[in-house]
Amino acid sequence: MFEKSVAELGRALLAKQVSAVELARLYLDRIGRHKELNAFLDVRPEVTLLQARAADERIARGEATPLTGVPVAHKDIFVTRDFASTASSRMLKGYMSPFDATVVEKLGNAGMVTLGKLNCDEFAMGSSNENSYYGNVLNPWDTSAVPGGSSGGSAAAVAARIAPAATATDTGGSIREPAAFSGVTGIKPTYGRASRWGMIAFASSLDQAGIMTCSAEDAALIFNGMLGFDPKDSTSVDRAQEDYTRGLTQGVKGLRIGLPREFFGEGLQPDVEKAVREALAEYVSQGAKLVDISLPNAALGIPVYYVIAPAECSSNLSRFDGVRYGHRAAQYGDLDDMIKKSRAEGFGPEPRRRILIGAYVLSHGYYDAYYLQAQKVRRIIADEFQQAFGQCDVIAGPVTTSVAFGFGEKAADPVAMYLSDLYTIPGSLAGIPGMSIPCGFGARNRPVGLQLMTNYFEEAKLLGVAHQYQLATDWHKRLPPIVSDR
Amino acid sequence: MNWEVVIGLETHVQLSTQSKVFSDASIVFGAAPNTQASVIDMALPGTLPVLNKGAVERAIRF
Repeated sequence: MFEKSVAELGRALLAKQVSAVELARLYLDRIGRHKELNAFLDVRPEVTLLQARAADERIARGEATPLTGVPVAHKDIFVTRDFASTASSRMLKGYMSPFDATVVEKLGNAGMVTLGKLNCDEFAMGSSNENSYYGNVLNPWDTSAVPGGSSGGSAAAVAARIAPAATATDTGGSIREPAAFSGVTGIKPTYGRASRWGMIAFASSLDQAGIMTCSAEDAALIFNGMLGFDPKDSTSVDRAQEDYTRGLTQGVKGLRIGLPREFFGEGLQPDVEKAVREALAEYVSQGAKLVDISLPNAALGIPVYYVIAPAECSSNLSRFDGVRYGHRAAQYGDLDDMIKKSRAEGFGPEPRRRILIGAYVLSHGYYDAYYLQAQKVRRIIADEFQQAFGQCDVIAGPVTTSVAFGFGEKAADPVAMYLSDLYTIPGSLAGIPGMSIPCGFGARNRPVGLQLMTNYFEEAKLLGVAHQYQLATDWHKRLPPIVSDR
Repeated sequence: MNWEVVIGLETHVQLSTQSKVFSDASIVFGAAPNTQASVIDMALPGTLPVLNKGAVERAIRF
Protein backbone atom coordinates (compact mmCIF):
# COMPACT_ATOMS: atom_id res chain seq x y z
CA MET A 1 0.00 0.00 0.00
CA PHE A 2 2.85 2.41 0.83
CA GLU A 3 4.18 2.09 -2.70
CA LYS A 4 1.00 3.62 -4.03
CA SER A 5 1.01 7.18 -5.26
CA VAL A 6 -1.26 9.91 -3.93
CA ALA A 7 -3.42 9.46 -7.03
CA GLU A 8 -3.70 5.70 -6.44
CA LEU A 9 -4.39 6.12 -2.73
CA GLY A 10 -7.15 8.61 -3.48
CA ARG A 11 -8.78 6.15 -5.86
CA ALA A 12 -8.38 3.25 -3.42
CA LEU A 13 -10.05 5.30 -0.70
CA LEU A 14 -12.96 6.24 -2.94
CA ALA A 15 -13.36 2.61 -3.99
CA LYS A 16 -13.37 1.69 -0.29
CA GLN A 17 -10.42 -0.68 -0.82
CA VAL A 18 -8.82 0.96 2.19
CA SER A 19 -10.01 3.41 4.82
CA ALA A 20 -8.34 6.66 5.85
CA VAL A 21 -7.90 5.25 9.35
CA GLU A 22 -6.13 2.15 7.98
CA LEU A 23 -3.86 4.32 5.87
CA ALA A 24 -3.09 6.60 8.79
CA ARG A 25 -2.20 3.60 10.95
CA LEU A 26 -0.03 2.16 8.21
CA TYR A 27 2.01 5.35 7.81
CA LEU A 28 2.24 6.02 11.55
CA ASP A 29 3.62 2.51 11.89
CA ARG A 30 6.16 3.11 9.11
CA ILE A 31 7.19 6.41 10.73
CA GLY A 32 7.85 4.47 13.90
CA ARG A 33 9.97 1.92 12.08
CA HIS A 34 12.17 4.58 10.46
CA LYS A 35 12.90 6.82 13.41
CA GLU A 36 16.61 6.65 12.60
CA LEU A 37 16.02 8.98 9.64
CA ASN A 38 14.94 11.69 12.12
CA ALA A 39 12.56 13.03 9.48
CA PHE A 40 9.71 13.78 11.89
CA LEU A 41 9.80 16.23 14.78
CA ASP A 42 6.25 15.98 16.08
CA VAL A 43 3.94 13.02 15.67
CA ARG A 44 0.59 12.83 17.52
CA PRO A 45 -1.28 9.69 16.51
CA GLU A 46 -4.51 10.68 18.24
CA VAL A 47 -4.69 13.90 16.19
CA THR A 48 -3.95 12.04 12.96
CA LEU A 49 -6.57 9.38 13.66
CA LEU A 50 -9.17 12.04 14.46
CA GLN A 51 -8.54 13.61 11.06
CA ALA A 52 -8.60 10.19 9.42
CA ARG A 53 -11.97 9.34 10.97
CA ALA A 54 -13.38 12.65 9.72
CA ALA A 55 -12.04 11.86 6.26
CA ASP A 56 -13.71 8.44 6.29
CA GLU A 57 -17.01 10.05 7.25
CA ARG A 58 -16.63 12.50 4.39
CA ILE A 59 -15.93 9.69 1.94
CA ALA A 60 -19.00 7.83 3.24
CA ARG A 61 -21.12 10.95 2.67
CA GLY A 62 -19.91 11.10 -0.93
CA GLU A 63 -18.18 14.45 -0.35
CA ALA A 64 -14.59 13.37 -0.99
CA THR A 65 -12.00 15.08 -3.17
CA PRO A 66 -9.18 13.11 -4.86
CA LEU A 67 -7.10 13.98 -1.79
CA THR A 68 -9.54 13.09 0.99
CA GLY A 69 -8.06 10.60 3.42
CA VAL A 70 -4.61 10.71 1.81
CA PRO A 71 -1.90 11.30 4.41
CA VAL A 72 0.46 14.27 4.18
CA ALA A 73 3.20 15.63 6.42
CA HIS A 74 4.14 19.28 6.83
CA LYS A 75 7.58 20.87 6.96
CA ASP A 76 8.02 22.42 10.37
CA ILE A 77 8.21 25.86 8.79
CA PHE A 78 4.41 25.88 8.48
CA VAL A 79 2.54 26.69 11.67
CA THR A 80 -0.11 24.24 12.77
CA ARG A 81 -2.64 24.37 15.58
CA ASP A 82 -2.46 20.70 16.42
CA PHE A 83 1.27 20.05 16.28
CA ALA A 84 4.24 22.02 17.59
CA SER A 85 5.81 24.51 15.18
CA THR A 86 9.50 24.95 15.82
CA ALA A 87 11.10 25.93 12.50
CA SER A 88 13.60 23.27 13.65
CA SER A 89 15.00 25.83 16.05
CA ARG A 90 15.56 26.04 19.77
CA MET A 91 13.95 29.48 19.47
CA LEU A 92 10.49 27.93 19.00
CA LYS A 93 10.83 24.73 20.98
CA GLY A 94 7.33 23.56 21.90
CA TYR A 95 5.64 26.58 20.30
CA MET A 96 1.94 26.00 19.61
CA SER A 97 0.44 28.33 17.01
CA PRO A 98 -3.15 29.55 17.49
CA PHE A 99 -3.70 29.29 13.75
CA ASP A 100 -2.86 27.00 10.83
CA ALA A 101 -0.86 28.09 7.81
CA THR A 102 -3.13 28.63 4.80
CA VAL A 103 -1.42 25.79 2.92
CA VAL A 104 -2.08 23.45 5.86
CA GLU A 105 -5.68 24.65 6.12
CA LYS A 106 -6.34 24.22 2.42
CA LEU A 107 -4.99 20.68 2.30
CA GLY A 108 -6.94 19.92 5.47
CA ASN A 109 -10.10 21.24 3.81
CA ALA A 110 -9.40 18.93 0.88
CA GLY A 111 -9.39 16.13 3.43
CA MET A 112 -5.71 15.29 3.63
CA VAL A 113 -4.69 13.69 6.93
CA THR A 114 -1.70 15.19 8.76
CA LEU A 115 0.95 12.69 9.84
CA GLY A 116 3.06 15.22 11.70
CA LYS A 117 5.73 17.92 11.31
CA LEU A 118 8.93 17.39 9.44
CA ASN A 119 12.49 18.26 10.37
CA CYS A 120 14.31 20.84 8.27
CA ASP A 121 17.25 23.22 8.44
CA GLU A 122 16.66 25.84 11.12
CA PHE A 123 14.40 28.64 9.83
CA ALA A 124 14.77 27.07 6.37
CA MET A 125 18.42 28.08 6.21
CA GLY A 126 20.64 25.39 4.82
CA SER A 127 21.26 22.90 2.05
CA SER A 128 21.82 19.69 3.95
CA ASN A 129 19.52 19.56 6.99
CA GLU A 130 22.66 19.66 9.16
CA ASN A 131 21.43 22.92 10.68
CA SER A 132 18.50 21.60 12.67
CA TYR A 133 18.52 22.05 16.42
CA TYR A 134 16.82 18.66 16.58
CA GLY A 135 19.53 16.73 14.76
CA ASN A 136 20.40 15.75 11.22
CA VAL A 137 18.03 14.02 8.86
CA LEU A 138 19.50 10.98 7.07
CA ASN A 139 19.25 10.31 3.36
CA PRO A 140 17.23 7.08 3.00
CA TRP A 141 19.33 6.07 -0.03
CA ASP A 142 22.55 6.26 1.94
CA THR A 143 22.34 7.08 5.61
CA SER A 144 25.90 8.43 5.65
CA ALA A 145 24.77 11.13 3.22
CA VAL A 146 22.72 14.27 3.69
CA PRO A 147 19.16 14.29 2.32
CA GLY A 148 19.62 17.87 1.18
CA GLY A 149 18.07 20.98 2.66
CA SER A 150 16.44 22.92 3.86
CA SER A 151 13.46 20.55 3.31
CA GLY A 152 15.48 17.46 4.28
CA GLY A 153 12.77 15.90 6.42
CA SER A 154 10.20 16.31 3.63
CA ALA A 155 12.48 14.66 1.07
CA ALA A 156 13.54 11.82 3.37
CA ALA A 157 9.97 11.07 4.45
CA VAL A 158 8.76 10.75 0.87
CA ALA A 159 11.86 8.81 -0.26
CA ALA A 160 11.39 6.32 2.57
CA ARG A 161 7.68 6.14 1.86
CA ILE A 162 6.80 7.08 5.42
CA ALA A 163 4.60 9.83 3.94
CA PRO A 164 3.10 9.80 0.43
CA ALA A 165 3.58 13.56 0.18
CA ALA A 166 5.17 16.31 2.18
CA THR A 167 4.83 20.06 2.02
CA ALA A 168 8.11 21.93 1.78
CA THR A 169 9.44 25.40 1.06
CA ASP A 170 11.96 26.69 -1.44
CA THR A 171 13.77 29.99 -1.06
CA GLY A 172 17.00 29.30 -2.98
CA GLY A 173 16.52 25.65 -3.85
CA SER A 174 15.24 24.07 -0.66
CA ILE A 175 12.71 21.87 -2.42
CA ARG A 176 14.59 21.07 -5.61
CA GLU A 177 17.96 20.27 -4.06
CA PRO A 178 16.73 17.82 -1.40
CA ALA A 179 14.37 16.26 -3.96
CA ALA A 180 17.41 15.65 -6.18
CA PHE A 181 19.59 14.32 -3.35
CA SER A 182 16.83 12.03 -2.06
CA GLY A 183 15.44 10.81 -5.36
CA VAL A 184 11.93 12.26 -5.15
CA THR A 185 9.81 14.68 -7.16
CA GLY A 186 9.79 18.19 -5.79
CA ILE A 187 8.21 21.32 -7.22
CA LYS A 188 8.25 25.01 -6.35
CA PRO A 189 5.46 27.01 -8.01
CA THR A 190 5.63 30.56 -9.35
CA TYR A 191 6.23 33.07 -6.57
CA GLY A 192 2.83 34.16 -5.34
CA ARG A 193 0.95 30.95 -6.15
CA ALA A 194 1.07 29.49 -2.65
CA SER A 195 0.04 31.64 0.28
CA ARG A 196 2.82 32.51 2.69
CA TRP A 197 0.38 33.08 5.56
CA GLY A 198 1.55 30.74 8.28
CA MET A 199 4.95 30.05 6.70
CA ILE A 200 7.56 31.16 9.19
CA ALA A 201 9.25 33.84 7.13
CA PHE A 202 12.88 33.64 6.07
CA ALA A 203 13.24 35.77 2.91
CA SER A 204 9.88 37.22 1.96
CA SER A 205 10.58 37.97 -1.70
CA LEU A 206 11.88 34.45 -2.29
CA ASP A 207 10.04 32.06 0.06
CA GLN A 208 7.54 29.82 -1.67
CA ALA A 209 5.68 26.73 -0.53
CA GLY A 210 5.69 23.63 -2.68
CA ILE A 211 5.35 19.90 -2.48
CA MET A 212 7.53 16.77 -2.44
CA THR A 213 5.98 13.59 -3.60
CA CYS A 214 6.69 10.56 -5.78
CA SER A 215 5.41 11.81 -9.11
CA ALA A 216 4.46 14.86 -11.13
CA GLU A 217 0.88 13.61 -11.27
CA ASP A 218 0.72 13.56 -7.48
CA ALA A 219 2.19 17.04 -7.31
CA ALA A 220 -0.46 18.31 -9.74
CA LEU A 221 -3.26 16.83 -7.63
CA ILE A 222 -1.87 18.40 -4.49
CA PHE A 223 -1.35 21.75 -6.20
CA ASN A 224 -5.07 21.73 -6.96
CA GLY A 225 -5.71 21.64 -3.24
CA MET A 226 -2.86 23.79 -2.04
CA LEU A 227 -2.43 26.80 -4.32
CA GLY A 228 -4.63 29.83 -4.74
CA PHE A 229 -5.18 33.45 -3.85
CA ASP A 230 -5.12 34.38 -0.17
CA PRO A 231 -6.03 37.95 0.88
CA LYS A 232 -3.99 37.46 4.07
CA ASP A 233 -0.81 37.38 1.94
CA SER A 234 -0.25 40.63 0.05
CA THR A 235 2.12 38.88 -2.37
CA SER A 236 -0.47 36.24 -3.22
CA VAL A 237 -1.43 36.28 -6.88
CA ASP A 238 -5.11 36.64 -7.71
CA ARG A 239 -5.69 34.47 -10.74
CA ALA A 240 -8.58 32.28 -11.76
CA GLN A 241 -8.66 28.83 -10.21
CA GLU A 242 -6.97 26.29 -12.46
CA ASP A 243 -6.58 22.54 -12.76
CA TYR A 244 -2.90 21.73 -12.58
CA THR A 245 -3.46 18.23 -13.99
CA ARG A 246 -4.68 19.60 -17.31
CA GLY A 247 -1.24 19.53 -18.97
CA LEU A 248 -0.19 16.05 -17.85
CA THR A 249 -1.13 14.22 -21.02
CA GLN A 250 0.43 16.78 -23.34
CA GLY A 251 3.16 15.05 -25.35
CA VAL A 252 6.61 16.59 -25.78
CA LYS A 253 6.85 16.32 -29.57
CA GLY A 254 8.31 19.58 -30.81
CA LEU A 255 8.95 20.83 -27.28
CA ARG A 256 11.99 23.12 -27.23
CA ILE A 257 14.15 22.32 -24.21
CA GLY A 258 16.66 25.07 -23.46
CA LEU A 259 19.98 24.01 -21.93
CA PRO A 260 21.80 26.91 -20.27
CA ARG A 261 25.45 26.47 -21.15
CA GLU A 262 26.38 27.98 -17.80
CA PHE A 263 24.72 25.00 -16.07
CA PHE A 264 26.95 22.50 -17.87
CA GLY A 265 30.30 24.08 -17.21
CA GLU A 266 32.98 23.77 -14.62
CA GLY A 267 31.92 22.31 -11.33
CA LEU A 268 29.31 19.90 -12.69
CA GLN A 269 30.37 16.37 -11.72
CA PRO A 270 30.54 13.82 -14.57
CA ASP A 271 28.17 11.33 -12.91
CA VAL A 272 25.47 13.97 -12.54
CA GLU A 273 25.99 15.24 -16.08
CA LYS A 274 25.73 11.70 -17.47
CA ALA A 275 22.37 11.02 -15.80
CA VAL A 276 21.02 14.43 -16.83
CA ARG A 277 22.09 14.01 -20.46
CA GLU A 278 20.53 10.55 -20.58
CA ALA A 279 17.28 12.07 -19.35
CA LEU A 280 17.52 14.71 -22.08
CA ALA A 281 18.12 11.95 -24.64
CA GLU A 282 14.86 10.34 -23.52
CA TYR A 283 13.05 13.61 -24.23
CA VAL A 284 14.69 13.80 -27.65
CA SER A 285 13.53 10.25 -28.40
CA GLN A 286 10.01 11.46 -27.68
CA GLY A 287 10.36 14.26 -30.20
CA ALA A 288 11.65 17.17 -28.15
CA LYS A 289 14.42 19.45 -29.40
CA LEU A 290 17.40 20.61 -27.40
CA VAL A 291 18.25 24.28 -27.75
CA ASP A 292 21.46 25.89 -26.57
CA ILE A 293 20.67 28.96 -24.47
CA SER A 294 22.59 31.24 -22.22
CA LEU A 295 21.94 32.76 -18.81
CA PRO A 296 25.07 34.89 -18.78
CA ASN A 297 24.73 36.22 -15.26
CA ALA A 298 23.43 33.09 -13.58
CA ALA A 299 26.70 32.67 -11.73
CA LEU A 300 26.09 35.99 -9.99
CA GLY A 301 22.99 34.39 -8.50
CA ILE A 302 24.81 33.15 -5.45
CA PRO A 303 26.32 36.46 -4.28
CA VAL A 304 23.05 38.20 -5.13
CA TYR A 305 21.04 35.68 -3.14
CA TYR A 306 23.41 35.76 -0.20
CA VAL A 307 22.94 39.50 0.05
CA ILE A 308 19.18 39.65 -0.46
CA ALA A 309 18.13 36.59 1.54
CA PRO A 310 20.12 37.47 4.67
CA ALA A 311 18.89 41.07 4.42
CA GLU A 312 15.29 39.93 4.39
CA CYS A 313 15.92 37.34 7.08
CA SER A 314 17.46 39.90 9.42
CA SER A 315 14.17 41.73 9.23
CA ASN A 316 11.94 38.67 9.50
CA LEU A 317 13.81 37.19 12.44
CA SER A 318 13.81 40.41 14.44
CA ARG A 319 10.47 39.38 15.92
CA PHE A 320 12.17 36.67 17.97
CA ASP A 321 13.11 38.54 21.11
CA GLY A 322 11.88 36.39 23.98
CA VAL A 323 9.18 38.91 24.88
CA ARG A 324 5.90 37.54 23.53
CA TYR A 325 6.71 33.91 22.69
CA GLY A 326 9.57 31.58 21.98
CA HIS A 327 12.78 31.07 23.86
CA ARG A 328 13.54 33.47 26.69
CA ALA A 329 16.86 33.35 28.47
CA ALA A 330 16.65 32.12 32.03
CA GLN A 331 19.16 34.64 33.36
CA TYR A 332 19.39 38.26 32.27
CA GLY A 333 19.86 41.78 33.53
CA ASP A 334 17.68 44.38 31.85
CA LEU A 335 15.36 44.15 28.82
CA ASP A 336 18.20 44.72 26.39
CA ASP A 337 20.15 41.92 27.99
CA MET A 338 17.13 39.62 27.95
CA ILE A 339 16.68 40.15 24.22
CA LYS A 340 20.36 39.69 23.41
CA LYS A 341 20.67 36.52 25.46
CA SER A 342 17.37 35.06 24.22
CA ARG A 343 18.44 35.52 20.62
CA ALA A 344 21.97 34.29 21.15
CA GLU A 345 20.67 31.17 22.87
CA GLY A 346 17.64 30.58 20.65
CA PHE A 347 19.28 30.89 17.22
CA GLY A 348 21.78 28.39 15.87
CA PRO A 349 24.95 29.42 14.03
CA GLU A 350 23.44 29.68 10.54
CA PRO A 351 20.58 32.05 11.44
CA ARG A 352 23.03 34.13 13.48
CA ARG A 353 25.41 34.27 10.52
CA ARG A 354 22.68 35.37 8.12
CA ILE A 355 21.20 37.92 10.49
CA LEU A 356 24.62 39.53 10.86
CA ILE A 357 25.22 39.57 7.10
CA GLY A 358 21.75 40.98 6.55
CA ALA A 359 22.09 43.73 9.10
CA TYR A 360 25.41 44.69 7.57
CA VAL A 361 24.27 44.89 3.96
CA LEU A 362 21.26 46.99 4.95
CA SER A 363 23.17 49.34 7.18
CA HIS A 364 23.72 53.00 6.50
CA GLY A 365 26.60 53.41 4.10
CA TYR A 366 26.42 49.86 2.79
CA TYR A 367 22.80 49.61 1.59
CA ASP A 368 23.54 51.05 -1.87
CA ALA A 369 26.69 49.05 -2.44
CA TYR A 370 25.22 45.73 -1.39
CA TYR A 371 21.46 45.44 -1.14
CA LEU A 372 20.46 47.89 -3.86
CA GLN A 373 23.12 46.56 -6.21
CA ALA A 374 22.02 42.99 -5.57
CA GLN A 375 18.40 43.86 -6.40
CA LYS A 376 19.55 45.41 -9.70
CA VAL A 377 21.53 42.31 -10.64
CA ARG A 378 18.53 40.20 -9.62
CA ARG A 379 16.47 42.09 -12.20
CA ILE A 380 19.11 41.36 -14.84
CA ILE A 381 19.05 37.65 -14.01
CA ALA A 382 15.24 37.61 -14.18
CA ASP A 383 15.31 39.39 -17.55
CA GLU A 384 17.77 36.82 -18.92
CA PHE A 385 15.24 34.09 -18.20
CA GLN A 386 12.65 36.04 -20.21
CA GLN A 387 15.06 36.24 -23.12
CA ALA A 388 15.76 32.52 -22.82
CA PHE A 389 12.07 31.64 -22.85
CA GLY A 390 11.86 33.44 -26.18
CA GLN A 391 13.90 30.56 -27.61
CA CYS A 392 12.57 27.58 -25.67
CA ASP A 393 9.47 26.27 -23.90
CA VAL A 394 11.16 24.77 -20.88
CA ILE A 395 14.65 25.08 -19.41
CA ALA A 396 16.40 21.92 -18.25
CA GLY A 397 19.62 21.07 -16.54
CA PRO A 398 21.12 19.62 -13.40
CA VAL A 399 19.74 20.52 -9.97
CA THR A 400 23.07 20.17 -8.20
CA THR A 401 26.73 19.89 -9.12
CA SER A 402 27.09 16.53 -7.38
CA VAL A 403 25.09 13.81 -5.71
CA ALA A 404 24.38 14.08 -1.98
CA PHE A 405 27.55 14.70 0.01
CA GLY A 406 28.44 13.06 3.30
CA PHE A 407 27.69 14.58 6.69
CA GLY A 408 30.23 17.14 7.74
CA GLU A 409 31.80 17.42 4.29
CA LYS A 410 30.64 20.98 3.70
CA ALA A 411 29.37 21.99 7.13
CA ALA A 412 32.64 23.63 8.13
CA ASP A 413 32.77 25.87 5.04
CA PRO A 414 29.65 28.02 4.65
CA VAL A 415 30.62 29.19 1.18
CA ALA A 416 31.10 25.62 -0.08
CA MET A 417 27.66 24.85 1.35
CA TYR A 418 26.14 27.90 -0.36
CA LEU A 419 27.49 26.72 -3.73
CA SER A 420 25.14 23.70 -3.47
CA ASP A 421 22.40 25.98 -4.74
CA LEU A 422 24.28 27.20 -7.84
CA TYR A 423 21.70 25.92 -10.35
CA THR A 424 18.58 26.50 -8.32
CA ILE A 425 19.12 30.05 -7.09
CA PRO A 426 18.72 31.82 -10.46
CA GLY A 427 15.18 30.46 -10.86
CA SER A 428 14.36 31.48 -7.31
CA LEU A 429 15.59 35.01 -7.90
CA ALA A 430 13.38 35.24 -10.98
CA GLY A 431 10.37 33.72 -9.19
CA ILE A 432 9.67 31.19 -11.94
CA PRO A 433 8.42 27.68 -11.16
CA GLY A 434 10.95 24.84 -10.95
CA MET A 435 10.98 21.10 -10.41
CA SER A 436 13.38 18.29 -9.70
CA ILE A 437 12.55 14.79 -10.86
CA PRO A 438 14.67 11.65 -10.30
CA CYS A 439 16.64 10.72 -13.42
CA GLY A 440 19.13 8.10 -12.29
CA PHE A 441 21.94 7.46 -9.88
CA GLY A 442 25.49 8.75 -9.62
CA ALA A 443 28.49 8.15 -7.44
CA ARG A 444 27.89 5.72 -4.57
CA ASN A 445 24.45 4.94 -5.92
CA ARG A 446 23.10 8.24 -4.72
CA PRO A 447 20.21 9.77 -6.67
CA VAL A 448 20.50 12.41 -9.39
CA GLY A 449 17.77 14.95 -10.15
CA LEU A 450 16.82 16.64 -13.42
CA GLN A 451 15.78 20.27 -13.07
CA LEU A 452 12.96 21.65 -15.19
CA MET A 453 11.81 25.27 -15.25
CA THR A 454 9.11 27.11 -17.15
CA ASN A 455 8.05 30.70 -17.27
CA TYR A 456 5.69 32.31 -14.78
CA PHE A 457 2.35 30.59 -14.21
CA GLU A 458 3.14 27.65 -16.51
CA GLU A 459 3.07 24.96 -13.81
CA ALA A 460 0.61 22.83 -15.78
CA LYS A 461 3.06 22.67 -18.69
CA LEU A 462 5.98 22.02 -16.32
CA LEU A 463 4.16 19.15 -14.65
CA GLY A 464 3.20 17.74 -18.03
CA VAL A 465 6.79 17.73 -19.26
CA ALA A 466 7.84 15.93 -16.07
CA HIS A 467 4.93 13.48 -16.30
CA GLN A 468 5.82 12.43 -19.85
CA TYR A 469 9.32 11.48 -18.66
CA GLN A 470 7.86 9.53 -15.74
CA LEU A 471 5.56 7.60 -18.07
CA ALA A 472 8.59 6.35 -19.99
CA THR A 473 11.00 5.75 -17.11
CA ASP A 474 10.80 4.33 -13.60
CA TRP A 475 13.47 6.21 -11.61
CA HIS A 476 10.70 7.81 -9.59
CA LYS A 477 9.39 4.41 -8.54
CA ARG A 478 12.65 3.03 -7.19
CA LEU A 479 12.76 2.31 -3.48
CA PRO A 480 15.77 2.84 -1.24
CA PRO A 481 17.13 -0.47 0.12
CA ILE A 482 16.11 0.34 3.70
CA VAL A 483 12.51 0.64 2.54
CA SER A 484 12.42 -2.61 0.63
CA ASP A 485 13.69 -4.32 3.76
CA ARG A 486 10.99 -2.95 6.05
CA MET B 1 16.60 94.39 7.78
CA ASN B 2 13.36 93.01 6.48
CA TRP B 3 12.72 89.54 7.70
CA GLU B 4 9.92 87.47 6.23
CA VAL B 5 8.43 85.11 8.74
CA VAL B 6 7.84 81.63 7.45
CA ILE B 7 6.00 79.40 9.87
CA GLY B 8 5.71 75.72 9.25
CA LEU B 9 3.07 73.68 11.00
CA GLU B 10 3.87 70.04 11.53
CA THR B 11 0.62 68.29 12.24
CA HIS B 12 0.08 64.74 13.30
CA VAL B 13 -3.32 63.50 12.41
CA GLN B 14 -4.80 60.17 13.35
CA LEU B 15 -6.49 58.75 10.29
CA SER B 16 -10.10 57.79 10.90
CA THR B 17 -9.77 54.16 9.98
CA GLN B 18 -11.79 51.31 11.46
CA SER B 19 -8.75 49.17 12.12
CA LYS B 20 -4.99 49.25 12.34
CA VAL B 21 -2.61 50.12 9.53
CA PHE B 22 -1.34 46.55 9.03
CA SER B 23 -4.03 44.40 10.59
CA ASP B 24 -7.80 44.32 10.84
CA ALA B 25 -7.73 44.56 14.61
CA SER B 26 -10.11 47.01 16.24
CA ILE B 27 -8.79 50.34 17.51
CA VAL B 28 -11.58 51.43 19.85
CA PHE B 29 -10.33 54.05 22.27
CA GLY B 30 -10.32 52.97 25.89
CA ALA B 31 -10.62 49.24 25.30
CA ALA B 32 -9.07 46.98 27.92
CA PRO B 33 -5.32 46.45 27.38
CA ASN B 34 -4.25 43.59 25.09
CA THR B 35 -7.79 42.98 23.81
CA GLN B 36 -7.14 44.61 20.44
CA ALA B 37 -3.84 42.95 19.57
CA SER B 38 -4.27 40.46 16.75
CA VAL B 39 -1.80 37.73 15.84
CA ILE B 40 -0.40 40.11 13.22
CA ASP B 41 0.11 42.89 15.76
CA MET B 42 1.89 40.45 18.04
CA ALA B 43 4.01 39.33 15.09
CA LEU B 44 3.41 35.68 15.82
CA PRO B 45 5.46 33.35 13.60
CA GLY B 46 3.92 33.08 10.15
CA THR B 47 1.94 36.30 10.27
CA LEU B 48 2.07 38.83 7.47
CA PRO B 49 0.98 42.49 7.46
CA VAL B 50 -1.75 43.62 5.08
CA LEU B 51 -1.81 47.34 4.39
CA ASN B 52 -5.04 49.08 5.39
CA LYS B 53 -6.45 50.43 2.14
CA GLY B 54 -8.53 53.04 3.92
CA ALA B 55 -5.46 54.43 5.63
CA VAL B 56 -3.79 55.02 2.28
CA GLU B 57 -6.93 56.65 0.85
CA ARG B 58 -7.30 58.97 3.83
CA ALA B 59 -3.64 59.93 3.76
CA ILE B 60 -3.93 60.80 0.09
CA ARG B 61 -7.09 62.83 0.65
CA PHE B 62 -5.62 64.67 3.58
